[in-house]
Amino acid sequence: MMTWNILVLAASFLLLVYLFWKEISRTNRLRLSWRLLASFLTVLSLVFLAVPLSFKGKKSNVSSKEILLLTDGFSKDSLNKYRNSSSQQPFIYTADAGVFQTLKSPAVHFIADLDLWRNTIPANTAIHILGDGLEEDELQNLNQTPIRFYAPELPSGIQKVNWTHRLNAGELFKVQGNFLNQTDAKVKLVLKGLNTSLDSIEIGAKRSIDFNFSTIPKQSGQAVFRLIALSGKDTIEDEPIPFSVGPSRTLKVLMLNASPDFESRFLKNWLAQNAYAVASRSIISKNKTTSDFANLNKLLLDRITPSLLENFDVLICDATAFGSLSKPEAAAILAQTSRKGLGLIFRADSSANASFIREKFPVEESNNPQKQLRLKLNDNSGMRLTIQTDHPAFIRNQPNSQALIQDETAHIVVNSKLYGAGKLILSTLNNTFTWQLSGKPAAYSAFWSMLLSKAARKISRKENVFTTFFAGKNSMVPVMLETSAKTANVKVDGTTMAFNQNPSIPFLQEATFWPKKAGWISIIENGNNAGSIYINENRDWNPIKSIKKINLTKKYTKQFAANELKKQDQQKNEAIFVSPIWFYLLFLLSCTFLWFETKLL
Amino acid sequence: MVEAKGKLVISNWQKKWKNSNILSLALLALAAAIFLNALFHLVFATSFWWLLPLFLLFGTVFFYFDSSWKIGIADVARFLNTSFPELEESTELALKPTGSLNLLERLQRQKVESILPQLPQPKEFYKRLKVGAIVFAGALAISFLLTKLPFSLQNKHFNPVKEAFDATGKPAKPEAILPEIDHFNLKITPPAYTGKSAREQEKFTISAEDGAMVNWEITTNKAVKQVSFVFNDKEKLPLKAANAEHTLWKTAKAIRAPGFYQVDLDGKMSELYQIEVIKDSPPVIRIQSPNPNSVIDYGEPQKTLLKTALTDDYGISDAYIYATIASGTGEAVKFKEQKIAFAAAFNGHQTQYQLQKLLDLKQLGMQPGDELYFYIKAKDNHNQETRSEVYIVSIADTAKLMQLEGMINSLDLKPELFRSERQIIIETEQLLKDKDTIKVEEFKKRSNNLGFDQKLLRLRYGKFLGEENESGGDPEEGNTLSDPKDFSNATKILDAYTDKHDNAEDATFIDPQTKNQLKATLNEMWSAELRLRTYKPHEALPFAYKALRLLKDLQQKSRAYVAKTSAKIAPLKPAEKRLTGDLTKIIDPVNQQDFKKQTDPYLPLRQSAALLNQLKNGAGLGASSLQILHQSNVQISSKAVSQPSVYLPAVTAFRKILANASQPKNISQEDIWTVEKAIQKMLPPVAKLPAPAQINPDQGLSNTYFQSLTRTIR
Repeated sequence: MMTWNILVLAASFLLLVYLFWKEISRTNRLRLSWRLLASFLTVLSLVFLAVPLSFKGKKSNVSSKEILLLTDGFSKDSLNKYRNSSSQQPFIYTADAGVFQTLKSPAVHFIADLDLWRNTIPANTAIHILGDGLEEDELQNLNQTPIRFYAPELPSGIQKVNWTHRLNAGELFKVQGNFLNQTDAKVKLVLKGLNTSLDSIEIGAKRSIDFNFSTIPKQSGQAVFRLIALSGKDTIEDEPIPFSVGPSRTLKVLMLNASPDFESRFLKNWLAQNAYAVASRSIISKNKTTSDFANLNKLLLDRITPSLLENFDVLICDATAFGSLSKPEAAAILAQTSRKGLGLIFRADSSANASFIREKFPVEESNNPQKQLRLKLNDNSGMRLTIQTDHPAFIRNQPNSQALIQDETAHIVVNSKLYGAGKLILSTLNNTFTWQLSGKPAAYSAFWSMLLSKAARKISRKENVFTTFFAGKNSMVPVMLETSAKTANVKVDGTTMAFNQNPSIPFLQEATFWPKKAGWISIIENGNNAGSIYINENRDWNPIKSIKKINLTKKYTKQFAANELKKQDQQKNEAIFVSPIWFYLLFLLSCTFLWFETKLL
Repeated sequence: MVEAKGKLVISNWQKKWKNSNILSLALLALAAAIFLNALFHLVFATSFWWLLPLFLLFGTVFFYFDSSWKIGIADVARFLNTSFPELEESTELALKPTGSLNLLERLQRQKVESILPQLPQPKEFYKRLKVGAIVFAGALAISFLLTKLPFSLQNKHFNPVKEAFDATGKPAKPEAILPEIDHFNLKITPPAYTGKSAREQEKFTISAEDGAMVNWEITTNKAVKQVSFVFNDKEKLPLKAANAEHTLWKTAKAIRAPGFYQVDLDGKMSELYQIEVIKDSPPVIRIQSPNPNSVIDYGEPQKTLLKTALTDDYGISDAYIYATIASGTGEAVKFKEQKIAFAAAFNGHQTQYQLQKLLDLKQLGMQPGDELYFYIKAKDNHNQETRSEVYIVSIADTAKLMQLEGMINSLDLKPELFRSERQIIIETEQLLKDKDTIKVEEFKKRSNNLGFDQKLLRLRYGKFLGEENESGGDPEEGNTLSDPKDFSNATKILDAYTDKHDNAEDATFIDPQTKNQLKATLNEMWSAELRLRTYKPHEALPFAYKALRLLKDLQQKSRAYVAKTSAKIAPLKPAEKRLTGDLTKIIDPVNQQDFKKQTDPYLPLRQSAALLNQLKNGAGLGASSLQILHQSNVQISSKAVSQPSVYLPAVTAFRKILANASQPKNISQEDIWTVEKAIQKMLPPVAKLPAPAQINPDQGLSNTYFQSLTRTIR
């Protein structure tokens, strides 16, 4: 370094002497002092071109200007407020193409790649973020750069929502969520299906309420209902609620009765007429039984064996019938329930033998004999039924049991308990057939549907397909497939895709793809239809997306917060270089002068 | 004063000129305002009160821009200078004050002053006024003409309030007719019996009475080969050409069923038009009295008043009472039928009648014990008949009550000690017959005795209700007490000497309905007893009869009557077969049945909702999906035949969708929405049936976990 400096200085000194002598010895002594000055400046600039000039000075560590990153959802007012509050104009950047288009201001710079940009900004500079915040991948690109997030208020709209994604025919479809109304006007939230308004609720100004819509859809297959928020005549929000209604499935029921009575007869007939497979055995006399089979091949019902029970999903029997079974038979039934998930429904009666049932479900007669019981079903529908009884009996509440049907004074009429892999249910009502007789078949089918659905052996689907809540068009969408097959050849929307098997969960396979169009996309696995996923348009669910971004950015801020800018910056004594461009210009100017001067002679 | 005269003249002229200019400007403004107002009224239907603000507006504008009204006296002087050369340019001198003039000026001024009064008034003063007047007159005329124009401009665009609603009260959509049809005319003639006159309309949508005749007259703008109507996609009705150029087509049809139709013009189909039928409802009969089941007891007059109200929508032609009298009992019942007319005359045009008829049962030939069944039949002028319910009037048969039939077979024969109700009645009647022949005290004594008997009877029946039981005179009970063993028997002593009141055990012996009836019987018996004891036996009789009737009712209630069969069976061998308990010969019954699952007839509709969703997103459909859509179309069409007003738009929309099914981009969203709404309306709710819960596949992982858990616990 030093040698170079000395060389340069020496050379320039010689050059300077030469130039001076040339100028002085010129005949025409016009503008001599100017010429001398010009030559001196020429040499000087050459020197500093070769050797950059530096001087010791104080440089602040943190740049005095702030960096502002605008994201989607920022408001112009907050931007102006920010600009006015800071002493100097901050650098304004945005990574969102939409924001850049709308602003169209020369002060705003567009960032194409957050990762690269992060490297260009000075280290330890806090980024101030206005708007909804960044997405998860963008936050990762920031790579722990501290940020200050000025979180906006929550956007007006649906904040949280969930609904039943898969139903069977006849089941209740529920949509639940939370709606926040930030406007000053009333908003009406409507659930619309098949272009008909199914359920609605009104929300006052500046309020946040939880909504709960339910309906029984009439269609089958894939369906898309819509949640529409109306303020007067304007539609504030119009979101799709996709779900699929599967076909109804039947059960196989085995009934054991100690005596033929109306209840079992009506139940047998009802199930048989709805194409359920029913086998029923009833004792009619001493050692005489009658067997009925509906939609089923004849079986031998005299001995209850595990192989016989494999064929059925639910077993319905009276307490007397259960008590009069032999020990191995009873053990077989209980083993099938606890190990294989067979459902057991007992009908209470005044039997002395059924100690097992009595110990699981202690029954007591009620003190005041009521003529009418008002019942409530404890399921999604919350349906209410009334039944005439002479001597109502209730089940005492016990721990580890779930009451299925209670009356209006919370006495339990139908109780259920888990028993291994299966369920035990006891019903104290013995005259539900009166509903059929008095013209209330809906009450009858609601009662028995609830009991049988709760008790029945669960069946396993062959495959299950799902994706994230918001799967947007033209964005990366993960598809998850749970399947019982060992190898799967899967086609997503007609194209075969390779799925990744999860290393710790062998039945879960994942893949990602970029859907080009919105709507239902069917997934076909090994030639069978595995299900469908719904791809949203990019304008769907904006409030929820905003909230997600706000929360993610807030979480990031908690981890990597920018410290408050200290007013006294760390200052270092550093060599500050003067840019060589100045000296180049100086050189040029002086040479020009010298050259031009000769033309003036 | 001569000097001032010139100035006066000039100032007069200045005033005149200024005023005429102002007036002309005002006239121009008014003309503009009137014209513009008339134009606005014609196009926008604004009122005429806008004239004033318009005038003010135009006036302000004109006065601002046109300064011809700012004429000062100096301007007049200048003008006079230019128009009258004899003034020698010195009119201003007349305006200057006399004192400031020099000699020359004064001389000149005198000259001017002498000329000025003789000058004629310049015509220019009133030129502008003339122009203004002409323009004003012209504007007035034009505006008048404009307002008198036929109101064609207004109605077409800016007066939608008139004729906006059709007969159903919904806003009417304008009908789409084929462009080849120039104009058309429908004449609907309701049937004669309705009494309504024929009406004409210029719409294809028909809403007519049942059986009305509709005449169509269609004029096309060029000759066409054939025109026909297609009803409900099945029936075709060709129209006949009425003129040689084949531009006027006529036909007629009687409308009896609802549905829809479309015009077929040389193969070009129009949109679907609705046919609604207003059915003639049958007459409604409402009987206000008597009650459906009435009994005329002993002592009541044997007449019933029948009050009824008849209503119909067009007119009632006649109404009759059909009465049947049943007399006799058992196998010897005799029926006699009669047809009784109402007093009012039916003319077939009145729609409401309030009728009354007093039925004299004696006149009809009824005896006590007979029953009268009657119903009313009314017919409206469309020959539709309705029948009312059958009403029963029966006369209480006291004689039958007195017979012993049916009582002999019963097991509880009443001992003579206790007089029966029947006996009481017989004796009361005998008493009444003997009243004139016996003494008053005897009469009273016998009446009292009868009252006492009635009381005993009442108490006897009251025993069943748990009431007090006076077992008058039972000497045996007292004897047991004298037995020395019973001296300390507390219960027996109490039994003998306490007055047992209501016996609670007996109170719940019989069921509530019977108890109520028994109570009613006891009430009647009490009333009879009261009157007997107060020596008024003739008043007691009705109560006694009623009590007897109620008692008979009670006794017969619990009886089951079984028809006697004459079956010859083999002689039984009870000792051999009965009560052995041998069930070995009985085989276990086994039943097997198979019920076919009823396919849901609405399944195509349920599935087409999902397919329509696919079309909404622009995706195409496969052949099987199209098949399902066609089936749904058929279902909606058949529903539209019966309810065209509700489902017809959906049928039209569905056809459009199916036509464009191969190019989903051409399908409009409104069509899909209309069809979806119709599907939602048509589909019945899904029945709730038990279904097993479903769990997601996990290759047996959770099961393995469960098995190992239970293994370790054991």
